[in-house]
Amino acid sequence: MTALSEECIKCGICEMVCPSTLSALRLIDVKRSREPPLPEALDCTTCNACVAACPVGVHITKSIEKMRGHFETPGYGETLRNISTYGASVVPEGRLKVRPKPCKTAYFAGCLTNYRLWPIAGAMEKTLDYMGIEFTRIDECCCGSPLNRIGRFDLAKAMLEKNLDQFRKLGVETIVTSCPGCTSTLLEYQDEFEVCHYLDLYDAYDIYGALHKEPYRATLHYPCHLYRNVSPYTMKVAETILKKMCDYVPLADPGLCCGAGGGVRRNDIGLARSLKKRKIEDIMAVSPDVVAVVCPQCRVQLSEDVPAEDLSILLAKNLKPTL
Amino acid sequence: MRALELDCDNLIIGGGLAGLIAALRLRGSIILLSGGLGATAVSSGVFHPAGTDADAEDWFLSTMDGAYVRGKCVTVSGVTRSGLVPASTACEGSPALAAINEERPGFRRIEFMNGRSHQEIARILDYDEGAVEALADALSPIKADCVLVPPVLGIERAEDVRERISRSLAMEVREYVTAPSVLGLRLIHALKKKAAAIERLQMLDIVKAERIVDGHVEGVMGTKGKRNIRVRAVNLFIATGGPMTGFMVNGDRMFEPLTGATVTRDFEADLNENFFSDHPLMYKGIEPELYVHGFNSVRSIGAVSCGWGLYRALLSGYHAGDGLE
Repeated sequence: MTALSEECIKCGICEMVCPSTLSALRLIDVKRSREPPLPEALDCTTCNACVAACPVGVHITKSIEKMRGHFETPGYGETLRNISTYGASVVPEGRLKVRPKPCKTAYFAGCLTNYRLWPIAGAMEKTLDYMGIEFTRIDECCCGSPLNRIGRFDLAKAMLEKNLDQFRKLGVETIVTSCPGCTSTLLEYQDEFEVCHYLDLYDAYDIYGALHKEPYRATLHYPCHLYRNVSPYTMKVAETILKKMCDYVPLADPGLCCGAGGGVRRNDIGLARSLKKRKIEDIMAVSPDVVAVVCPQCRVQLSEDVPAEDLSILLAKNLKPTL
Repeated sequence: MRALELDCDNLIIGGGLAGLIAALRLRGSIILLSGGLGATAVSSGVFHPAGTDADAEDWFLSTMDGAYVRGKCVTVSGVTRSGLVPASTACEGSPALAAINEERPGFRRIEFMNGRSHQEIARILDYDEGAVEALADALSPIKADCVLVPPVLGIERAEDVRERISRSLAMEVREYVTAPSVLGLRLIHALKKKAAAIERLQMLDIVKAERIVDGHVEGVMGTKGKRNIRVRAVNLFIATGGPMTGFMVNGDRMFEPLTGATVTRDFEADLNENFFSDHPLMYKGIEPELYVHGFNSVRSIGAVSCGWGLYRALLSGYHAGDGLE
């Protein structure tokens, strides 16, 4: 990554747009490239605000993730231990109950949804059925995203491959996702399968007509790894859905990171919670009944302070019953 | 996945000063594709010299709701500039000058968060109350009616931070002008906030336009660049800045990739030290009608059409829609 940081023009934009407490400019300074990385590399939520803003396209987050391979912390150890023991980023509560079958479409839920927030998977299955899309599940392993975030790219690739192998055997062509981390990882690290987030799918299906207005007020928090990494248009889709279903009020800065990402919540809960303060203030300012989120990790982080629910669940509840 | 297909009346490529100003002024449905931050965000935020188009200036000042004024500011080299200046930098007379963590002739050096850049300090002051008090402490030995500090007084809450420090010191604290600095980013943020409130305008950030093909613009979305997008429009506004997207070579021909405009047919023979200074591209910009087809109207605005400089970019954005229905 040294070659990339040589392109840096030191404009300081990365330092101004960062939602956390580090200076990306200091971290990637080419003069430092032969020295051990600074511990502030651990504070990056990998939100990619700097990458999206950088005038010369330096791959800042990748460099920081690579630096993190040098650190051993209790949080990073927990991620490595969970994935090597259970094949999942969190300790599973029970076994995943899926019946894989040959099918062109697969729904990939991700660890946090499978073992902590399973109502998201339930809502997804209901909505896919509603749209008449036949799909299969697989016996999922972690997609590798949490490993990439801590610089273990080698291990991440091996985890992803275990999933890809199952897709191949079932003749899958399109993978439908609900977690931004999985979506971004599946898009970046393989080209064999189509990857489609549920918002892409709902937009292509034109699901808007199946929704009706209900008397509640909601705002929307943008998930970094979907909005920034994959497609800013997904957030336009989410906003259109919310406008159909309820009284939608936008946040002042919806793309501001919630503070949980990049392993920060697991590794430094104090930092994760202090980064969240501004987000919570922004949310309070529009006093919603619920904050719609599109990421299980954002859901965990924000629901400590405010009522937050995944948009897939809000939408599944709103669907008119089929005749 | 299939490319995302969108259409609109007016499509703007580029979310810098000219692109955003045009977006605020054009009628009909508008899509603005923005690849990230560029020249405006790393600029000083000062429009100098100004004074040739009062309508555009008045419109800009009223749009900025007091964040900009007609007046004077002082630069990092101690020179006074006049024009449209960020309100936080506007000053008269001869204010005291303070430099943070660096020696500057004519400036009083104060120590504050040593080891951090001005940009990083601005971000910290934006949310850290303790840091705001610490800066007031560091400035307290200075006795003057008005003191100019580097542009560090926050980002979103800059006016609030500046007022608090001024009040606690009973002295007008303002900023001197330098680039790159937070002044350019504040300008972009203020314009984006205005643009976000316009219902008929769809801003898509993090979209890199790659090709203009017969009435369409094609590009990729997201930092991973894995999603394709294709936008059809009636009118096209090219506001991509500078020498557009950089040049490419195919055989002997050198061309501009977005429009396909030929820069030279035989670059080995033509390229010498005079080539760029003599080439019309460098002083006239791209002439879109020659290279771009399938739109009712194609216009280049901002640095593409008139070279660098915020004031010229403002005027070209302000007049982008002149004469269109």
